[in-house]
Amino acid sequence: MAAFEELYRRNVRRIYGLCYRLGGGNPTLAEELTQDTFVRAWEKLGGFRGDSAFSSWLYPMAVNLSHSERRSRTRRTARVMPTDDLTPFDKGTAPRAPEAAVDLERAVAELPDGARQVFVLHEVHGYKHEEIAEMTGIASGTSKAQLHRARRLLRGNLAR
Amino acid sequence: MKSLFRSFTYAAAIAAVAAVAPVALAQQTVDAKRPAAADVAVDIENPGGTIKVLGWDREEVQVTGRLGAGAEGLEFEGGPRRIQIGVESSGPGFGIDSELEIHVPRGARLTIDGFSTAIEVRDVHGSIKAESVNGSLRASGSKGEVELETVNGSVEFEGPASRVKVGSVNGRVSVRGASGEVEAETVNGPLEVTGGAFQRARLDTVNGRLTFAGTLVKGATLDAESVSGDVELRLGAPVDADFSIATFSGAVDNRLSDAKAEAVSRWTEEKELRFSVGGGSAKVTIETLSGSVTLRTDAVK
Amino acid sequence: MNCEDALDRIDEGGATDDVTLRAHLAGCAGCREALRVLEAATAAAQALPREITPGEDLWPGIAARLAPREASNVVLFRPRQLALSPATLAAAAALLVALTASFTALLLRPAEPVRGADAAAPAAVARPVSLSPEASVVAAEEEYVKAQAALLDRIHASADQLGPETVATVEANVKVIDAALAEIRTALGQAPGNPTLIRMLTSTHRKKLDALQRVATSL
Repeated sequence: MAAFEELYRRNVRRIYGLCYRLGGGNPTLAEELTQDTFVRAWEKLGGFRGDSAFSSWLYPMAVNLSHSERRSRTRRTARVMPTDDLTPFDKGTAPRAPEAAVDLERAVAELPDGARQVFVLHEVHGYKHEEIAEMTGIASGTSKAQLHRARRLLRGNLAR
Repeated sequence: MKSLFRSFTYAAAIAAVAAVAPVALAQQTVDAKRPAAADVAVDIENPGGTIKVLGWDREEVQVTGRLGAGAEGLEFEGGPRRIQIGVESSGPGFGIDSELEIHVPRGARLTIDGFSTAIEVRDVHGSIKAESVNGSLRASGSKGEVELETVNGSVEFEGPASRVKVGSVNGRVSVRGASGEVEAETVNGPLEVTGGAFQRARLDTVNGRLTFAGTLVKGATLDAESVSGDVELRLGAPVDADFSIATFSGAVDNRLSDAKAEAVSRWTEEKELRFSVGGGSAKVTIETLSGSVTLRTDAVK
Repeated sequence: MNCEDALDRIDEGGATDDVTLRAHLAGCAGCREALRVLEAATAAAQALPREITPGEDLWPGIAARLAPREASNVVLFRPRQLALSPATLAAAAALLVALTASFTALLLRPAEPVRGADAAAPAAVARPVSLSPEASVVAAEEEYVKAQAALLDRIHASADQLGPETVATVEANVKVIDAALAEIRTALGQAPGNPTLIRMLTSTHRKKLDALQRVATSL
């Protein structure tokens, strides 16, 4: 277990970072997901073949857990979801640009779950659509569509 | 522990068996279903016994069967894009024999893991990756990528897959009907690849008999290596390839051209044979120590 | 192209090489601004730190959930997780790669010139037939032999979990491979430096290591 703790120490910041954004910027939820990810990794350790970095083996687990967590949470409580519809782009006013990462973090956190997941994996963590599809079980076309949707919503949110 | 408990409860519920004193339960039957996408990814784990996976036309994954003595329950979660099925055990799992029959949508993509487990997959068109240690693997139907590996037991694949990787340490390996890329390896067992048109073939054995029957497309490569097993290539006409054959003490029987193997040393039986047929667009390399080599044409079965 | 289409293209991410879109952007300040907002957002997203340190140490909470399983030995099937740490696996994989590379290099270095000279003037070189393989072969094989012995030890130590059938299979196949290795070594003694034989020796060692690894890592 000492070796596993070492692996935890080396990877926790990346996994927490991923869970934090996938979970919509909620620290408590991110901590829970991070812990679940490492517990799951311990259970599945035999599946790790050593042919990839340990962190890239952990990623899909974190993604899957955040995905199933979201589903069960959605079932339990009716959440107030941000609207999918855009306020029509107003050509008359000069939109305010996102000046700080803080604005972006907030805007990303407000994205609907599916769009946020793809945006975070693609833009923040640099995964390709095919990799996202493999990781999350959605089709790569769906991943593209979600990214498109995320951009549209972000643009709207940040321009407001 | 959380996930274990969750799936444990679920398995117990579907099996209608109390969740206490699991070791005392000789057998639990399983019969459960979950909705699934047409190309659902299904991960299956069973440490011992059998896993039979059958493709069907419903968008559903169904598990039936019986869990062996010592099994704690069955994990069956996820969906509709990814579903996990796994026999849970107390202790290391060795010696528990469970029989699982799993129906999946035909387009499913499978990852199957066993230990003392015989694995069979039929009529699944998606990719198949299956591993066992003690147990035979049989799969058919896949049009995608196929990877089947075991240590002790035969490995058979039949179907139009375009990329196949198969291997057994101790057992017969056979691939039928595939094309594209094939990689096959045995230590101690015959290796037979029969198929359509190949772009790349890599065939390796230590002392098994190695047979390849197929056509090589333009620019294809075929590499075969055997220490003491005989090697036979039956190439579909028209043959268009460069051949490079080297053997230390085996015989070479070339029926593709008039070229004969020549001794390369005054001191040993080492022989080499290099020749081209047609334009020589494909490249065939065969190396053996004492295995004999036969080259001939043959219509693909 | 109207603004709706233009914004759609922008969101698709295909802004830079799209001539129609560029034409529209040239005449539409609103869409230019939309593009700027999105590009700024994308750049900011790519610049966000991927690593964040949690507010508190999460390890105690994780360790508490791992420990009971070790104690009661209740596992989700994966016998593999019991014996092998990922670090061991990674090390084994790295060893395999390193061995294969260094082995071939080590063997081919002294081998090639001998063969070259031989081929150039076969009759002039009186080569004594040696029954023992070259020293370089022995040295290069040592690393493989060590790695294989370690894996075999581990397999024997875990015989209870693996079961008698598996251990017997391993032993039988190790014998088959060892016989093949001996055959190749003898041949190399007769034809020192023969590149085909050296490749074969390497790949047979690799097969043995692979087979042992497959069993050892199934624990």
